Amino acid sequence: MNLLDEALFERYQLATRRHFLKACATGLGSMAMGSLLGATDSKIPHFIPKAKRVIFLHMAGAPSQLELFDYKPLLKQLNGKDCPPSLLEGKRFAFISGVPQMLGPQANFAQHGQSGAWISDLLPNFSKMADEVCFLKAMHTDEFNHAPAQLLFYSGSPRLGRPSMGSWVTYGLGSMNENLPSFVVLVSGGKTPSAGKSVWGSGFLPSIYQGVQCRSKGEPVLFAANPNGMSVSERKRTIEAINQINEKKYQSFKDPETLTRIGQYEMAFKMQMSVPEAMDIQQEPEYIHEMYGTEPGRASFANNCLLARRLAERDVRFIQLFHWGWDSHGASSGESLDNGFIQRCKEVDRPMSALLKDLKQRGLLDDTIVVWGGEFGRTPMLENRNGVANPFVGRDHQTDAFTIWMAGGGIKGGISYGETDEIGYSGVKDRVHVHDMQATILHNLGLNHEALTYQFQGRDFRLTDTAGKVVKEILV
Amino acid sequence: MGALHPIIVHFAVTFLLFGALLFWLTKLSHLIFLKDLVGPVNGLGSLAGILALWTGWQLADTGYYAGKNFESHRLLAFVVVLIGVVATLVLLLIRNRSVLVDYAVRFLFVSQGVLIIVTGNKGGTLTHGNKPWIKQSEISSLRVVDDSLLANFTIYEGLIQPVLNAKCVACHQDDQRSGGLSLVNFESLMEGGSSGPVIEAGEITQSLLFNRITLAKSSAKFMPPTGWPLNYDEINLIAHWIETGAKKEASLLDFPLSDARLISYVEEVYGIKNGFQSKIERQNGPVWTEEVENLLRKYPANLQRIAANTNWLNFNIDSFYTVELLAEVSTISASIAWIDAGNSKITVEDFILLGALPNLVRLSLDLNEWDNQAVATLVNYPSIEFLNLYSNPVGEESIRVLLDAGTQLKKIIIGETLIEEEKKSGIIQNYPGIEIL
Repeated sequence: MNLLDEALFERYQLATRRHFLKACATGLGSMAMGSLLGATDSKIPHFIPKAKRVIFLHMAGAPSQLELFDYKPLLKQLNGKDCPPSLLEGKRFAFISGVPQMLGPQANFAQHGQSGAWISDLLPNFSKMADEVCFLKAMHTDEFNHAPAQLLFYSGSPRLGRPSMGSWVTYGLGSMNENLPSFVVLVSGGKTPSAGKSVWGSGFLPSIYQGVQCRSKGEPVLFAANPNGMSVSERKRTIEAINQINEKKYQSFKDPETLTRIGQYEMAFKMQMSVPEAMDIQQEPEYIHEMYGTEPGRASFANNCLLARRLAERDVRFIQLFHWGWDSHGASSGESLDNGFIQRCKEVDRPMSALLKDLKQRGLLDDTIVVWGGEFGRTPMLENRNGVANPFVGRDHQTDAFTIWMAGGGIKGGISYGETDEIGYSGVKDRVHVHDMQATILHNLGLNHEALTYQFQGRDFRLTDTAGKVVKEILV
Repeated sequence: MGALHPIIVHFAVTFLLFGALLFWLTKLSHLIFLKDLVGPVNGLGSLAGILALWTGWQLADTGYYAGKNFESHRLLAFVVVLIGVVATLVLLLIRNRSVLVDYAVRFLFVSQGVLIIVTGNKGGTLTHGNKPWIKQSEISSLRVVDDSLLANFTIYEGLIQPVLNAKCVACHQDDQRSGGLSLVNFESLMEGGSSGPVIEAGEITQSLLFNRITLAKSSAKFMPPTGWPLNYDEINLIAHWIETGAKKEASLLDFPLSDARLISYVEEVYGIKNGFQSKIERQNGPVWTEEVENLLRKYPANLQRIAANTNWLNFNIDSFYTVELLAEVSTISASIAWIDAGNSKITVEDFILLGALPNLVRLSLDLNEWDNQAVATLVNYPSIEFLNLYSNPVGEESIRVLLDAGTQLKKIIIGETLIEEEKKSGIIQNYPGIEIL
């Protein structure tokens, strides 16, 4: 587009209804500005919060609950038997077809801690933290494919376009740190989650609330550093000039996204100093590296866990970790219960236990909610893709029962909530839907999930949409 | 009908004010043609006023309103409506008015205009708090629960009877025993009605009362036949009470604690909470002074409200703090409930500048340089429930001083201090009620 076209385009835009409404002195534009600039006034929890921040450890691909926390001795006896038709009627699976065989637990279980929680021997370090966490064993979801299930998990809807949990939380509570973004995402396992960046997107909320992905290897935030030959003061003057122009633009168009842009420029400038400092895990003492199993300079879940603690310490509001590789269908060695799964367990066991321990010793676990889980669970049946058994041992996707755990931030430690049937196929007591989990997290942050709304396309939207119930039973 | 009062009063206010205004406008020679309008407009206002009086009376009947403001609102309302009616009648009925009558009419219209404003203001104060026209509604006060209430709380008096009162007693009372049944108290409930007893202890399916409230709503026997049915929680509550023996004296403590739904119902309806509750959850905090509002505006990064439904404040101290800031905040010391001074390198000499801090419940001093002498001064803040001393050069002595002082401490973090691991476990054993990490 040449300059003339651009000028014409803007002129036409000015005349459209939308821009009229936005530019009108008492119109929507000024209201939007009020809600954005008045941020510091309105961003107060609805009631006294138990937690200030959240660390979400997402095991993307959905780990099997039957090999980790949901111990089913009966399933062991049924191993290798054909699945009875009653279990298959009316069910839809991602891959299983025909009559699959039952698959016993592929790990050994023992009870741990004073609470006697069943944890498998694949998580030897985590077993020692049994009394810190609350297991939700009868979780259920609506979606049996990764992308929609992840979207449901984080945005409350299986379709694209809704804000993610971290965005809602920062929209509701604001930032606690002027120099770092309040919603940071860290990815490991060599792959971003199936649902893509929408799981930390801001949807229809102003984009200032979207998650910022930081990398644990190389430059933490891409393109934030100054190019060669650009001095800090020169950069500062540049940004000030750009912001003045944007300010003028805002005065004539009243588009709230311009405010977001101004904010982002300022934030980016501050981040040039603060992010490298926050992300530099080499500053940590040796015993901390030993505890987490970190190796500076690598992209790993362990490094990300340590980063999560450093960010929590600096009062980043929502820290989201994704670790890919849990989709244990058995179609390949890397994605099987007898190989890849065991490897993944090794990768997360030490760091996630260390994270809990470290947060606790620093007094941070008191006001930080830590959540661990996948987007759904896995079947008690051996996966037989297209009716033929897979080359490796694996389980298919399953929505009716899976386990997640939560700790700290007003959640009772050392309890197990919810029960599944004798083969772990579906929840039979105290079932918790994904929306209930979201409502509970918001509740502990001092937010009423029914009151945290944003008007878009003529109606008020919320994270839990029209559902969700706070699981009071697991609260301190 | 009481619910309509807030709507109807606005008609009354509008027309009565407009009527008074119109009356004076007609005194201007070129607006004299409006003369015939004054009577009808004022009449409408008076009519709305009478309606407002009636609905207001019913609203007051609910018992939610009382006090000086309410009394004067009611009295003034009567007076202003009376004036409105008289003024209208005089205007409409007496065509040829003597000078004296004319002055009386003028006087009536002046007082009508003034009084309606005062009355409306008093009414607004009842619903929106002081100075309703400049201030948004005040924070609704938290239910402050006395701990002894929990022990004295009987299920029947505290939970069951209120449900019966709200949903059943309108038809089942001593004067009007529908079906021979009165539900005004425990004795009459147990007495039953003309079909016999309505409660069979331990058996919900045998209890007529339970059956009738859980029938299909289309059934002719469904109770209550009109009005709001019992909701899920209320039905659940009654079922639970019958199943556990339908005793009059059963207290909340007799209920199995595992019944989380019941517990959360009690919590929601009565604000009674089992287990530990922080001081700031039990109390609302001192009412804000102008000073508090000024400082909140002046230091948004340091001072914040903890939540929208409480007056308590959080105070953030970072490494750029100044002595002036601390001195200013000390003037609102009683409103501060949480202090986060982690990694601020604040010295004890500076901290003392904050004053008494009588309501400080949460103090984070992690990653600072506080030694034994400094930490020992914290005995002066008896409300502290949570104390974070992570990574401070502090030894065992001052920690024991704090723990022995009989403060409210529930949790203390002493990781990365000078205290050795063996000594730590010794302290932990000595103070079983306190979480020491």
